[in-house]
Amino acid sequence: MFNLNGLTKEITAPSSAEFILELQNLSVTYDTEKGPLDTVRNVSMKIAAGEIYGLVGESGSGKTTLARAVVRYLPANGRISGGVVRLCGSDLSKLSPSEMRKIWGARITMVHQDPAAAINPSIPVGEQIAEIARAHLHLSRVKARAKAVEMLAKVRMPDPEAVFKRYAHQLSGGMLQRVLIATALTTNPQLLIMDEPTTALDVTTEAVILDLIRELLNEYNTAILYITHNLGVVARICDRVGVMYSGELMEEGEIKQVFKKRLHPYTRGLLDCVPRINASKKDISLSSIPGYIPRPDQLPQGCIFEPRCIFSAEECRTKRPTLVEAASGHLTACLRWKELDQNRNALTILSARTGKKSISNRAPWCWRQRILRNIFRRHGASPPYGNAAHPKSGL
Amino acid sequence: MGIVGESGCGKTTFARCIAGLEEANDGVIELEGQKLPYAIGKRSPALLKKIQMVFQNPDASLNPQHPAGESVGRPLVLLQKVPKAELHQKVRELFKAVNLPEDYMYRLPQELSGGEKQRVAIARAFAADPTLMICDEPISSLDVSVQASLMNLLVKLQESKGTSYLFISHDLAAVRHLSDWIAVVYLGRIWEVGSAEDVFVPPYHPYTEALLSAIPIPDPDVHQERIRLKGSVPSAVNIPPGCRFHTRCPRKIGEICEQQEPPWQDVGNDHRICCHIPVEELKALQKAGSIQPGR
Repeated sequence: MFNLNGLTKEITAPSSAEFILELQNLSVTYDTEKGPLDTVRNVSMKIAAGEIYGLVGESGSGKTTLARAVVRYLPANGRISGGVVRLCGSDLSKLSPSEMRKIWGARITMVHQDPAAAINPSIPVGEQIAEIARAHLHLSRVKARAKAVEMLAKVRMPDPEAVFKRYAHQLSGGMLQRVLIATALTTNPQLLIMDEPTTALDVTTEAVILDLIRELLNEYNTAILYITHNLGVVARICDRVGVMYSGELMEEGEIKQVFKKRLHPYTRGLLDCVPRINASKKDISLSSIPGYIPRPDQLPQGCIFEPRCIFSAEECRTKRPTLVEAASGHLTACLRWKELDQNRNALTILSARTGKKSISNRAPWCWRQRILRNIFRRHGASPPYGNAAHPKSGL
Repeated sequence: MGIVGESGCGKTTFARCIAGLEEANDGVIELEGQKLPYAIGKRSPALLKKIQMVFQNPDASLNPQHPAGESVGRPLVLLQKVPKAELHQKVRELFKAVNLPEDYMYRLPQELSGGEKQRVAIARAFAADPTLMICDEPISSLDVSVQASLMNLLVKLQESKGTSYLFISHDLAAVRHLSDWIAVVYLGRIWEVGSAEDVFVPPYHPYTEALLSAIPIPDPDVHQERIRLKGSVPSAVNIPPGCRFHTRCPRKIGEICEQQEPPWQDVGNDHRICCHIPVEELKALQKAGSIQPGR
């Protein structure tokens, strides 16, 4: 078997010329009745060809706003208030609407969360793909039709000729999402933005779609910005990940760096929230992030995550951290990242506020007992205690 | 008890039948040894009190014109016959139990966030002091951090009140976390049932195996077998003969799957699998494919 990991590493570290999308200090402001609202602040990121960049965060953290700013498709009261968006080196924020129209659908395409809402219910789905081919690739009617059928086959649709004539209501959610992916890839775009494409689907369908995205990426070499709140999905298909909180990037890096080192308390919080398939309520209690995401006009003075952070110290309340490079390509916006790095399991970090040990990642005694029991078994000895494992049961 | 399965496999219908919101055609529903009438209209208030339900969408299940406190108070008045003088105090206790500030009693659902609304719905279900709580995907529409706090709340309430839960979800990790017993459902039938520890280690039913291999695990080091199901769930109007899963089964062994209903096989420890493939064979096939914990 060849080394897949080595391969992705090569792809994710290209020279600067190969970056398809570059954001530099991008800020987005909504003008509301109560005054301007800075929903996205100073976000910088780069996405290379053939790379999937995952953007995660709670709802309300500005993920979708960022994506819409990239394609210049903000609502009427929204505007890019600072920074630059570059697609293959050219600045998108200076283009006129008519110039943007040449980019939409041809060089940047999007796959949305709700496939049923993104497809016109009164036109056959194949016809919609053919329309894209006619408009952007300037194909004749016959050739556009052939292209649409070819695209439907590419997304592993069974019987593409028949699916071409179907309407949206005749297809299941997973099939509709495949139609959307086919539509998005018809023009072989440089950048594909996927906004929660599998959230509405079943796990089994989701797995199939994720495999498909990975396979198609090898063929098309598109840069993908993948927005989701599911950390499992990110771990499965993305090369790099950016963790967003209340409009700012908190941590960024390659999947392994971020998921293993977790140099920002917010990333730790998000990961510890997720129940694991090999543990139950008897083994661990889930840690949740207390409090709520702040509104962009009510940000705390220091670190924006400080009010909800279990590691917060005095300096966090006054000093706003900036992104620093902890390792090559791994950025974090936490003042105490060095301590987090040293204490990867977080058992020994004392919270300055509560004086208690951090609750994240705690290994409860049942786990330890289980580990001990296995060791005893391995050495052929009988365990010192029986199978009654739970302390609360009183057995 | 947790119930998992894809959408359209009958999880919600099953729950609604137990709650009496839909009438079953056949069979017996027993609560504490007592047979339940199918229709909700034929159940006495004392029976109604014992089964409470939390729905998936709190926007649809809370009256938008009633303040949260009034929604929680209604089962107290109707089912518990709490006198008016004590009502306020009782509602306040319930709000405290679900970790909501007291002044939220006067808020309308539109002034609450998704997680807070779901907490109100849980408080309302507990107001009747039920013996069985049916939770139909109570957390699937919420953020991960809110999901975690709600799951912790459900565990805490169960410990203090001793209520039984019927927890329905398509999120296997959440079901695994909360349940003592798990039933895997496909096309309106249970295919595997057992304690939570047993269902998620080999041998499992081929469908459980496929579900497990599809869960995205937030750990890049976890190795997962890639078992993918083809197509979608067949329509319940046109159920395939023989084993209902044979049209999509990755481990189909031949004509027997298409013609005969599979037998129930006992794995031990009350863990049962409904499949034609013998348990030993399943075990041998699946050993390599089990999920290896990364941490």
